[in-house]
Amino acid sequence: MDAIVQAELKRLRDIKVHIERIANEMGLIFKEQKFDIVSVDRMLEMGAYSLLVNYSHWSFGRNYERMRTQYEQSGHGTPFEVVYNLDPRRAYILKTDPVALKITTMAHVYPHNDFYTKSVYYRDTWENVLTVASSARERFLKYEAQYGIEAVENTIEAFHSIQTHVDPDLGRRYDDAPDEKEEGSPVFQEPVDPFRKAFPKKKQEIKKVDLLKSLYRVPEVDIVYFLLKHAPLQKFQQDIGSVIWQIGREATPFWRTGVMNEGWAGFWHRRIMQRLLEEHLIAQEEYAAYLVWDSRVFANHPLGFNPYLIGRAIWQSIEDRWNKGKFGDEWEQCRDAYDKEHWDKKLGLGHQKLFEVREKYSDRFFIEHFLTQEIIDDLKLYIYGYDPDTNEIDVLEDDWEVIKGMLVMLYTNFGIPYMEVADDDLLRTKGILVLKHFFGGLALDEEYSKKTLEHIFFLWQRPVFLKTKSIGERGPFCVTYAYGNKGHRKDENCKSGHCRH
Amino acid sequence: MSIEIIDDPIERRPDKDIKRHQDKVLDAIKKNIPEIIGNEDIITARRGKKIRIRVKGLRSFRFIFDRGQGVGSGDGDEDAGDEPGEESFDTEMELERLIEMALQECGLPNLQKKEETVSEVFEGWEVKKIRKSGTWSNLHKRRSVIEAKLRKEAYVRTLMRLTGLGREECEQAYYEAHGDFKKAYTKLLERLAQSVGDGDIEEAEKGVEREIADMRKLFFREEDLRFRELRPKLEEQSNAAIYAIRDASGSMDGEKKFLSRMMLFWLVEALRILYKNVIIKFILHTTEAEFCSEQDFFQRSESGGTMAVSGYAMAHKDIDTNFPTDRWNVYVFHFSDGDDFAEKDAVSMVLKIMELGINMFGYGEINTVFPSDLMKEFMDKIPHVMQNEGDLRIITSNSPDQPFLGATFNDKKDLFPILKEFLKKERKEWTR
Repeated sequence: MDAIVQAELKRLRDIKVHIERIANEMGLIFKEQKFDIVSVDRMLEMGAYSLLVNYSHWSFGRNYERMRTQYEQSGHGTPFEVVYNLDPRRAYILKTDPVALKITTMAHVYPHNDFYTKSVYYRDTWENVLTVASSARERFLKYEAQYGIEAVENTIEAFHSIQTHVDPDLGRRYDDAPDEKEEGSPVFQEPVDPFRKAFPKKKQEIKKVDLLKSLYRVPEVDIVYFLLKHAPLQKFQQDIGSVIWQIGREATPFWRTGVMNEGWAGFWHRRIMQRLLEEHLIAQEEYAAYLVWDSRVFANHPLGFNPYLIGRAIWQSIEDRWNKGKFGDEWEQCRDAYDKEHWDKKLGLGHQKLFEVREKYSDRFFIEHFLTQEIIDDLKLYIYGYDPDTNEIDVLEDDWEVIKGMLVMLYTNFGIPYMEVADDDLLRTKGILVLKHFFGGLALDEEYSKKTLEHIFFLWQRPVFLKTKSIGERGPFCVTYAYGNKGHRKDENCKSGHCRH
Repeated sequence: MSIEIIDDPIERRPDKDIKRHQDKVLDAIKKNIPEIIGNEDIITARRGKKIRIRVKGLRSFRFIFDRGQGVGSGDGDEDAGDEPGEESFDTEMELERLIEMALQECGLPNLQKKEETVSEVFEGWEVKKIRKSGTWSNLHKRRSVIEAKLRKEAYVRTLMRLTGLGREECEQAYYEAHGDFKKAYTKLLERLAQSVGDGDIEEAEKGVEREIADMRKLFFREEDLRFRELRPKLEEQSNAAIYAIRDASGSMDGEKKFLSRMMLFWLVEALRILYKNVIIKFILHTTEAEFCSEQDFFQRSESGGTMAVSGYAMAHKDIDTNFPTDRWNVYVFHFSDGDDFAEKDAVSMVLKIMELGINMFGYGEINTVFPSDLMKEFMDKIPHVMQNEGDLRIITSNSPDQPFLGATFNDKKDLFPILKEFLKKERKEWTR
């Protein structure tokens, strides 16, 4: 091995020991952490496939190309916090990064490690799902050979489109564990039977009598599970769907705590890097390089929400407030601006509060409880949208309460619209799948919704409805999108402006 | 060890998926050719170069919120740029490949075998081969003599061999027999059996004289005769001469120049696929015309009125002098915005040009008004058929001796239909 590379490796190993010591002193609790130094290609690959996926699909090729183009043009953009949730934990460092950034990555990884270890939302490690994921690749390639690449691609795409609508708690409670002995069960996969290929399962004829008898679990938030159980899928489609379902379940905790998690890592890596500088373990220039990187990653976005920036700001606020006692009834009721600004009861509870919050909260409550007017004003958060007066996208709102309300609503599900399979008579009488979107102020993107309905129809094989709302001049009104054999249809109601649905 | 350097695995997982995505993107490009055709980068690119095409990767759909609204942070006065989360990326393609694809979509099939329009021109006669029969005027004397000599030699040697007699005797026998082998042989046999009589000596003297004379004698048998076979000498020529004429008056603004440039680029590319040699001549005109460089053609603006006839006359003269239409496939394209002072003169000149036997006269008018005076005059004088698609109007002549294609357009999206129409005509109705 190259002498320079040897020297660098030694330095990283030495500094790892220090980082762990510092992290310990700061109160972080982490499992054993290993680092792999890998090439850009490998990093991009992991970003494109996400860590849990191993099967083949063109969308991963696209992700890869996009990330590669961005990296080539801008010099950055590789994922820098690729952390495997295993025991021991595994994280990746980019071979071509300057050593300052390699160290930054390491400093960033330990708070993530702590978060996975202590947050109640991260129950399992990924051993099971990784086994499922890796064995899936071979099987799916065989399906491509047997059924044609398009059949497999379309099935994967259809399940991808609803992958975020899964319930990780499903099956973990005794009363609603899926029946594991059912044929075509999503949990067990039998090897593909060649005779089955010759006699494929026919599409389910939904007869009226059967409908009344069949037990639809509705309302159901886990749309993928619903389809796995009730849609007329072929065996290989069941297999594909169940793999995607399992991966989705493992990914959901990340979606639910994305803002907190990223903010947490940002909050602590800043302190760790400062300590490294103070202890002369890194040079000034190295620290400067880290600062440049940090300011880019934790930057403002004019059209978009940067979870890193906002998460970190909230953590800072929590520490500050609990140190100074800026909470509780007395604080809430104080109306004196001067007092509020100089409030300092010197309670020193910040540290304790931080660790308590990271263990128990999800994004939704994190934002609801801890996003304050001060933060919103400091970061100059605003709501943007289409302004009918100027005919452009413009700042529509900077009232902090409105903004906070929207963020809470958005982060109830990490930006994933909250939907469920509705308990609707149409399902029982005509086999029509009715999805209900819980409208909370933001309308769905119409084009994407329609295309997603097409995907669901591909699996369900009967009409699919989506009940949601749209925003018009007089406010929200009801919209139902429908898709079936005859194409798309859209019905609008309550346009006069008195929609109370 | 807790930090390790890991080498890349040998099998690269993304390769298959990247390729599959690219295939799908190519399909999408094909469907989008009409838009891509209008891409400026293409017409300024040079041959052999890889051109970058901005493609939005194919999208994955799921339920999402309308991104026209949401929460942002900061000062809010920076440019939005691309739709967030929908970054496009560049895919590289060779310019030639893109052109091929575009023209294929326009209906030019079989581009793998570079199909060329080849014409044959009579350059005189050449000998194809020598045959054993023909007309006397085609008698190839030298070859015929050679054949007879060969035969003679062959006979003589055979006689020598069969009779054991010497060369002189045998040759003698040959002459006596007038080249008839059987007779010669019989004679020799008789000679062997019998002694020579008196008359024979006189014969021998005469024989010497005769021999000398005979040396010059050759008896031709029919089988020895050789004749030339002629065929016309045709040279394969694959030539196209393109005249690009443009109205240089100030009213042709940047946008119109751009559209004419774009249109000309694609017409030339299509012709480059069809012909081996392509020569382009550029003419600018106001009320007078002059040849100019390619660069000037696309950039210069003059002041003054517009008389297309000046440009047409210049082209006519040049074709007549330099590009005889029996050897050259001549195309004349004119771009203007319809304003003209002398449309009747212009159109009669065009009719004269067409009489020279050119392949096509194409008139591209970048105008929102239809018909202009000039276009009206074309339509009056040439029997035609009209198609329209929105603002685009295409006039095609249906008189085989008058290969006229006119179009009134004003948008990039019209390029594709016009190009298709041009290629259709090129393939079918006006082949000479």
